[in-house]
Amino acid sequence: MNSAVIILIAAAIYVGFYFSYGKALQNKVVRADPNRPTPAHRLYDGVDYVPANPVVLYGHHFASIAGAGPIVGPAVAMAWGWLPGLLWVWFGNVFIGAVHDYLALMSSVRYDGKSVQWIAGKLMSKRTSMAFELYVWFSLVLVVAAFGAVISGIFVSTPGAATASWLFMLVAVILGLLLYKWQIDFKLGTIIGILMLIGAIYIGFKYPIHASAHVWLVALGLYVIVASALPVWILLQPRDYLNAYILWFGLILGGLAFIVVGIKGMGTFTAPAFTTWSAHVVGGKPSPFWPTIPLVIACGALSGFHSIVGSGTTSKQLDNELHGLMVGYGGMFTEGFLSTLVISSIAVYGLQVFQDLKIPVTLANWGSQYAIQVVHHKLKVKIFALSYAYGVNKAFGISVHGAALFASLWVAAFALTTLDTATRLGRFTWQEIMEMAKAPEFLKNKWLASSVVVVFGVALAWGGSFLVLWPAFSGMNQMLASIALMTASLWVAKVQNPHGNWKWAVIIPALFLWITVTLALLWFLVVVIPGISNLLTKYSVGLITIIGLLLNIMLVIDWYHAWKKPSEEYAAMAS
Amino acid sequence: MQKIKDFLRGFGEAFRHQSTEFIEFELRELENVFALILMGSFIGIPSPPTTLVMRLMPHMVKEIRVMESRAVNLDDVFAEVAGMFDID
Repeated sequence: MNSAVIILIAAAIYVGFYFSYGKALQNKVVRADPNRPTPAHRLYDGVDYVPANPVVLYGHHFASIAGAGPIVGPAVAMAWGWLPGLLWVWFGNVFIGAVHDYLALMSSVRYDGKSVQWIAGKLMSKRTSMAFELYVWFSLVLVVAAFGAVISGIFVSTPGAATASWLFMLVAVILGLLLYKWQIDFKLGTIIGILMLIGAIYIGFKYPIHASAHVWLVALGLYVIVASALPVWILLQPRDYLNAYILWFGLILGGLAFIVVGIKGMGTFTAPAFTTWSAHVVGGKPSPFWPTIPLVIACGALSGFHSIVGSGTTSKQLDNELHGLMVGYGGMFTEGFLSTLVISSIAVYGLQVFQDLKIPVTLANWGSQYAIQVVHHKLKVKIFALSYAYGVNKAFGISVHGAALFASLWVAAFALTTLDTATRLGRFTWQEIMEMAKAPEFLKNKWLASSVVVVFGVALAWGGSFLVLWPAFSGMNQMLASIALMTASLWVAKVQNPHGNWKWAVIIPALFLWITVTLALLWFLVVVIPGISNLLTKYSVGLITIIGLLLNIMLVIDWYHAWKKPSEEYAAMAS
Repeated sequence: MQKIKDFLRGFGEAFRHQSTEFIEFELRELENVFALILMGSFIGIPSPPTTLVMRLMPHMVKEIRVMESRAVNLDDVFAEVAGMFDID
């Protein structure tokens, strides 16, 4: 197999399904009506409800959902070979992930821009809405743990990326001052920011910072507690702005590079297409591809966080119902394309990376050793960064070290933003939960609220194995997606009531997802958790998993009760 | 050709939007706080001197409308906050 062929097949699948399946969902399920005023028009207030250019919404939506997740998950899933993960990314996207994103957005549009959490409370039960918030809080702690482990791993395996990343923070602060405090010309400020970013990569190349993973974890914990309390213009805003350039540049450069490499005859896949059904992945144990794949590839195929993004602000800004397909469905496809690039690059150059670094992974032991060695040598991002760099070097002659540093910075920058976000949201959620529980005032303090999430997350990352933390995070994420998709399936079946069998296009994926994730987490609880040596990880992750499973069972019971209600009860909600 | 130009223009606008979305959110929150300071007596917050309120009232028409709309969505704040941030 060849990288150019795979990338072109991916493009063909996504374009083909967008214009066939996607349009069918739009016309037959959602029944999107260009003449029906969206909340952006109907409730226009010039502040929250404002119609936006669809390309702007698409760009914002994609930048919000694309981070380190669609890179790390598929990189680890290569243990099963390149083909299973790729098929899950493609067809998981088409039939589950993109459907989930699109329907979360459009159901929100039909409910005046209310979130999918609110809609779940309305269509299923109030406690479903509560379960949603609990899932989110646990997910955020696991996000801090898993992404903290990712970043500390990047900094250990690629010390130049550590320098570049910390300098990137400084660059963001300077850019914030230039644009928002001193208000220099926007284009000039942007050019200065990008040049400083290139400078940061160059300095990182020259002056790498060496430290242990534990030192980095402490540094990251302190950084994120402070960063998440700063005014947004100082760091978060300018950093997020520069991240958008990194993302699009990396994606376009990589996509073109692996097409060129394929055309030049240097893009042949050397990694095995398929190793074994039960490669050693989750917890280092033999993991059956189904049902455990969602515990590894989360964001590249399907992610519950996307429903929050789509039904948060995007639905309030949709100008026309027909724009929803590009934003929701198309945005997820673009993320799937990013994951396709990750898989292709490792499939072409992964074996070479292992040989160059003298890591004992061969074609013969790929299934049993890939994930274990990648995590042991802190290569979960470097395997992608180096593979990407080799491809870019072969295609365009760009320095391997420079390109690898760029790719590592790309992942680190997004993971750092995710840490910041997780801390802010964790603080917000904790305070909301303490408010509901009528807890003493000191428990609602913002520094305490931030510290709880960060300290818990860092403690888990300190002693826990990545092959336990990442699946735990993915599992919670996928359960969140399950709530959103089951809510969407109720909305479709009871409110939209499409003709023919189109409601099954949503119900079947929703039930398949619920069954898959539930079985995966049961397997995780029974097979993986008992073998964890670190007691904090074992009992914390075990407890979170048990709570998640109990909430999941409650969810399907509520769904079933809601399903049994006659459609007439939902008729008043139809719009 | 026009569609490609429109797409590229929109793309550029997307980058601009990416440079201000959090600041705009913070601005909305600050306006919210200001409106609450002025109109907070509706919910028990002591209000400033009446003369000051009366002088500012004509400039607060839009803010009052926004506050009413926000009050309707008070049971769904989390999603707006979460929806803005990069979480994946």
